[in-house]
Amino acid sequence: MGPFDPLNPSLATFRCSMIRVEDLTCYYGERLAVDNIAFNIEKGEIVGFLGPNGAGKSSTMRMVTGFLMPTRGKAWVADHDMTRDSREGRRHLGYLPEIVPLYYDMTTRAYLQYAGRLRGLDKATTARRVDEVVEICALQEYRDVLLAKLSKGFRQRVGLAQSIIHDPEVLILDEPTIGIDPIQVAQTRQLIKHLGENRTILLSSHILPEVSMVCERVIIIHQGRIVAQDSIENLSSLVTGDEQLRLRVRGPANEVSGVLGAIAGVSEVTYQEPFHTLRVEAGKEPQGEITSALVAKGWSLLSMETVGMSLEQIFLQLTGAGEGAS
Amino acid sequence: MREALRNTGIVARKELLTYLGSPMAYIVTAVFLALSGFFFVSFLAANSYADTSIAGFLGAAQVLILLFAAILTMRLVAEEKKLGTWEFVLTTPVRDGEIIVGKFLGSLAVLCGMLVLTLYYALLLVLFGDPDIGPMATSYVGLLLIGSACLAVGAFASTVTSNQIVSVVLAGGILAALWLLGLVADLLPGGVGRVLTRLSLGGYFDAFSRGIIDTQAVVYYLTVTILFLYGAVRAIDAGRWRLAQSQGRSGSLALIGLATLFVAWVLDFVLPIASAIVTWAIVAIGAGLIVANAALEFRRVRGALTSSRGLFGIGTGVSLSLVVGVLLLANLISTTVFHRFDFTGLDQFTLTSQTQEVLRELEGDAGALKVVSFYSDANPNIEGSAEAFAVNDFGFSLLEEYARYTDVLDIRREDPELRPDLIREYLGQSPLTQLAVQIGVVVFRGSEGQLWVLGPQIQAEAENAFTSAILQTTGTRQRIVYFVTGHGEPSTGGDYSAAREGLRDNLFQVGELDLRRLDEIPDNASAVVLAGPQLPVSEREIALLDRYLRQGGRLMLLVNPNPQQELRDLVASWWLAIEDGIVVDPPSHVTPNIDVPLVDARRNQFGLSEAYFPGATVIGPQEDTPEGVRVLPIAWTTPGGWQEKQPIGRSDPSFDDGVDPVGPLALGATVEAPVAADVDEGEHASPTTRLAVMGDSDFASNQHFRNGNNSELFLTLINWLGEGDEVISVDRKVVPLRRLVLGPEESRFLNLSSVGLLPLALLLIAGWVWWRRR
Ligand SMILES: Nc1ncnc2c1ncn2[C@@H]1O[C@H](COP(=O)(O)OP(=O)(O)O)[C@@H](O)[C@H]1O
Ligand SMILES: [Mg+2]
Repeated sequence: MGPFDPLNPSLATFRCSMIRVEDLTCYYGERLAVDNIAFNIEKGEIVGFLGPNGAGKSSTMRMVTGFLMPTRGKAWVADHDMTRDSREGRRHLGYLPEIVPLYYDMTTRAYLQYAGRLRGLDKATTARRVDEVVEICALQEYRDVLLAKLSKGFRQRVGLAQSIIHDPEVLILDEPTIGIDPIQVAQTRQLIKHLGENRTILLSSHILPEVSMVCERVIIIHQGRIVAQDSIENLSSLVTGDEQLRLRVRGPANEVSGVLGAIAGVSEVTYQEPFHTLRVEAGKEPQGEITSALVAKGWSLLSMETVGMSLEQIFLQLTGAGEGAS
Repeated sequence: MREALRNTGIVARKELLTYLGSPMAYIVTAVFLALSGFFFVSFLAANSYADTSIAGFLGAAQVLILLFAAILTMRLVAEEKKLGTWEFVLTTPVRDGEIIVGKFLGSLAVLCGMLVLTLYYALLLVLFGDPDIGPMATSYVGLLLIGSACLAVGAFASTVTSNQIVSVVLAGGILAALWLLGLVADLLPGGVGRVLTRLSLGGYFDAFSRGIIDTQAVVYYLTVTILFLYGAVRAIDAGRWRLAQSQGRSGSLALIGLATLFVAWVLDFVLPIASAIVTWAIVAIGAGLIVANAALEFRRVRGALTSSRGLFGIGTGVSLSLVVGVLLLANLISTTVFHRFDFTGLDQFTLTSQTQEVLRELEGDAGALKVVSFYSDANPNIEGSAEAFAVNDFGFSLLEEYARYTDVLDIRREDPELRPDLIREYLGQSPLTQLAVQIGVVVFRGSEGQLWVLGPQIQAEAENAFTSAILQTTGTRQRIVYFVTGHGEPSTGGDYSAAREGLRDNLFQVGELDLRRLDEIPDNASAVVLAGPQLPVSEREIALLDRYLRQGGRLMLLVNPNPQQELRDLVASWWLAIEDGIVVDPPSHVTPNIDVPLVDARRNQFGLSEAYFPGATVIGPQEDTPEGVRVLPIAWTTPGGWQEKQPIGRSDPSFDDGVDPVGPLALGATVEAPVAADVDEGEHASPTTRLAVMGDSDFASNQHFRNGNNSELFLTLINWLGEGDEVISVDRKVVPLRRLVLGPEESRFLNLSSVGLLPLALLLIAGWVWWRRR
């Protein structure tokens, strides 16, 4: 059960807290990587941990898993203080680090067996679980293949398989979809959703859609500080509804920019080979006018797509909003 | 506890499999075996095969094992850090200690496998010669121990870095530095030098290769092993706290310094003497770089070592002080109460308790007694030169044992060709000098002069010769046993020469005493022996002996049946009675001679398992002795024995009831009595008289001395007279000369297979492993 806080009976006390972090701060030498953050993840939640590269996601996760000790503050996993009692905490934990930890001279099976044994399973259970996780992660054909010979996506899956071999209550995944091709990304996402049906998951990413598709709640971290933490819906309303359009146009780039900028509802145009990116005011749909304006000039429109706000922009907005609020 | 064993086992197994699955371990082992095989055979060849030891292999192995360990362990943790698997391992519920010990054991298993392969050399020796197995076995124990220590250092080095090359350099540097401590120690005088010698990695191995297991060495190697494994565990924890965050190239100077030390260490082996100055210069540079680095990075170093969560900070203070405390205690205890187990076939390196006592009580400044052993290299063209070398080698090893018990000895071994100055200093320029050098000579030079001990003497009686030389050159008083002469007694040069050697082996000096020319027994006598006089001893002489006894003298009297009346009177005044007749003991005698009683362990004062007395009389203790006088039988017959009054010879002796005294009968007795108060104590000033009388003098003659426990009985009685309490015996060190018997074919096989066979096999396996993985 979660810790009962008599002063604050509202939230955490009714459900179990599986991951809790308070005052967590991490310095690398002089460099501040995580700055006094706090959050709480309850049993059964799937939480996204979002932030650009270098925000401090991995550092936070390493402190939660006990791989690093916080300079200040504490982290609890299943109520075990990871700064004192980390071995007990680690028993409840599955962890996929950012760099997938693989011994390349081992086969999938041998590696998963080693992981199972280190996680405290006996031989028979390990054998059974290896079969199960191989099934879950769709690795049947690669059971006896050397890890060195697996493609990136399969390595990622072996990493996932390793993290669930002991059927942990808490799963911590550091950028599980980084660097793999789109089809495999979709499969992995599916897999994580499946795993989250009966587990608590903390999942980090630097791509917003990635997180929004799997998670119920998101914690956004920037430069070592939490800038927002809320459910996906609340978060989207927090960010103003501006959208972006990205076009590829065959024509002189500068002139195209000029023409596009003049269209009503377009507030900003940037060009970066080969795309023009337009910022569109909320509620406006200038696609039709854009098409006709380009046709009128005799330039051909090769592609046009709607893209969400870039994460950087959200952060700018959030940090700006945060400062305004406080 | 069970969980800890389980986890350690899992990690160890994985590491071992990783080693076996990659070509690296095979290649390293192949190189190791090729080199050690080469040194093994070239040592034998250099000694013209007058040797059946693995000394050549051991000399190389104790050095190669450092490199082997540094390379083998470099991947243990550094590779995991590089691969990212370290994060995986450290987030499983396995303790840091379990990981480190597991990894260490994995590498130890590889080392064991490699050592098992080198048993091939031993096998060759058994096939072609008759080697002493004991020293081989202890050598392997030593290799395993020094190997463990090196692997632990390597595991530590691999834990503090994520770069395998850095790990090798670090491990090699630390090991070289530990080794070089011994060289530094040689330069430093007194206490500091001795402490450094104790800390040095190289100083302990020789004893193992000689067949000795020294508890002190075992404790030392285990200490290094535990200390570095513990350091590795601490380093893991320091990593969690990011204390050793390397900033740029902060440790690179120290690393270069360590590499430099390593080079110096290698040089020391490759060019031992010629390059001494160069070596030292390089050591100085290396040490300088390390110190400079520490000074430049002082704050960081201090922070990493002492911050509350640091490598050795308060946070870890309890466990650190516990580990260091226990290790320190073990080492302190081991330096004071150490034991050396001798596994040589003939206990060659176990010093007799007498020698040990002499050495412990030796007085003088440290290094006051210079002992220089000059050897000549084995030369196949000179008959016997290989043997001379082996003997000299043995002699020096024995001297090293001596040096363990005292610091008065300063022992050195010199090649006369390199040090003509020392030859002149110690041996002068007499015509004998050249010969002495050729047969090997050890020179003892102390405050009381100088003595040479030559090769043949070392071969025949090394310990006796050495110990006597030490006693004489340091002017230490020796106990002297005087044998009375002039009445047809067996002489110490003749029938009692074995007894004399036995005494000398026990560090007694032996002298002769002609009582007819003396007014008094010399006061340096430890004991006087009157053994088997055949002519009457004059009344004046007996009076002299009696007076000596009354002043607290020490006399051994060996009489034969029917002695002269004056001798009976003498012993009668010391509560002993001698009757006529000869002892027969049908239930226990040396067949077929019924008049040679044999006593077993239950029938003598010292529990000796058997002693016998050809033609003995009874030395009967008198019934009532005054208070304070102790009369004890030395040995006695069975109840079935008696003293036959009839001359034996014509007919079988038979027991005549009422005439012949019946067993058990005493064959000898010791008397201990306080010196009467009114006696002028004279020079002897001993408060008690001791007298030992045996009813036979033949048991100590050359024919019987070395049989049964006769020698022990004789020597122990002499020792008792001189206040010694323990049973002593003849303990002579003879150098066994063993050699390999090889035809030309066999010698070719020995050479080629030692150097080539195993490495080739391993390279093939390495190739196969590599090919399979591809
Ligand atoms: N081992 C390290 N040593 C020094 N600085 C580090 C180390 N790991 C991360 N950092 C720094 O800490 C900050 C946070 O890094 P990280 O936690 O990896 O961020 P994220 O996972 O969000 O990309 C970064 O600025 C990074 O440069
Ligand atoms: Mg990261």
